[in-house]
Amino acid sequence: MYFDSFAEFLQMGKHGFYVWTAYGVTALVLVMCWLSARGSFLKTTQRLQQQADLVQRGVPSAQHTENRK
Amino acid sequence: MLSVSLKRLWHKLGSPRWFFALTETWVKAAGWAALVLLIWGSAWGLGFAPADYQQGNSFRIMYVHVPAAMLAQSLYIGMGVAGFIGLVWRMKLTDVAISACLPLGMAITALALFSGSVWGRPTWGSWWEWDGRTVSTLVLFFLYVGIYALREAIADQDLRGRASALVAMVGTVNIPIIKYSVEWWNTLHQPASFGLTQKPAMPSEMWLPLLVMVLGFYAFAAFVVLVRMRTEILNREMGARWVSDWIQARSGR
Repeated sequence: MYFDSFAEFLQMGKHGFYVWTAYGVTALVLVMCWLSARGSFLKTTQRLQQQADLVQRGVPSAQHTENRK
Repeated sequence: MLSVSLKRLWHKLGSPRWFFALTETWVKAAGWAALVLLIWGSAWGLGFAPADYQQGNSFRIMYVHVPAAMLAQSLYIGMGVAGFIGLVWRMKLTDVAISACLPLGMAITALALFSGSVWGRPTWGSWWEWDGRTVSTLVLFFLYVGIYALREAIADQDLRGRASALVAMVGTVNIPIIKYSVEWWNTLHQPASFGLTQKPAMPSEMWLPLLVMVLGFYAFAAFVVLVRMRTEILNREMGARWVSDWIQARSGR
């Protein structure tokens, strides 16, 4: 560890505010990018799943109802 | 003989179905690699790398700013190359790739600008400078926004694909401008500290964490772009036999 104590680590000399803001926002942006990609993947697979269930229950022509979004 | 199999491979590469099957395992690998590398690199850069003798601890922002800026440009180059291939060979997959790189590229470019601003305040004494590299990166951001708006505005899938491919391709002229901005104009940005032929201008305790972070950012991008591409492929191929087979196999697990 470069710093002598945890308090010094948080303080980052006199640059704590800038360093932690940069890292915090980076973490936030990356997590949001991941969650939004994951969200649309789940939405799509759920829709596919519903369609597959309809087909399995024998609802006619369910397979081709939503060809294009 | 060879040219025939090469041609077959080329067509396979453009097939969404083949790509979808191929990337099934890649997604997970990229995601885990990103998680490990980013946590490892951040801990190393924040807590273990020595402070800069001039900038103090504010230089630690480099470990997120530099990878973000590199990735912002790489994703754009990726879109430009995909656009070119799509226009010349009429592949379906390239438009899928553009649509997947776009939102991530926009967010990462904004992140590069923001982290640069937060680094600029303690280092240059100002949140914003009309510096060559800063401005050309802002132009990059507007290129992403422009293509995004273009895609939202055009309903026809084929036309949307061709229009965004063209703009993505033409916009790549901005990339060398960002690269050489530090040489062409008076700038506050420092010139590249790394090159393939020269020794890095900083000690290894400082640049090794940067290497880990750069790899982490690229693994993260691979992960998100693959997830988005796979989603887009499912959306476009909805109703195809292989998609319903896949979803059934998935729910069977």
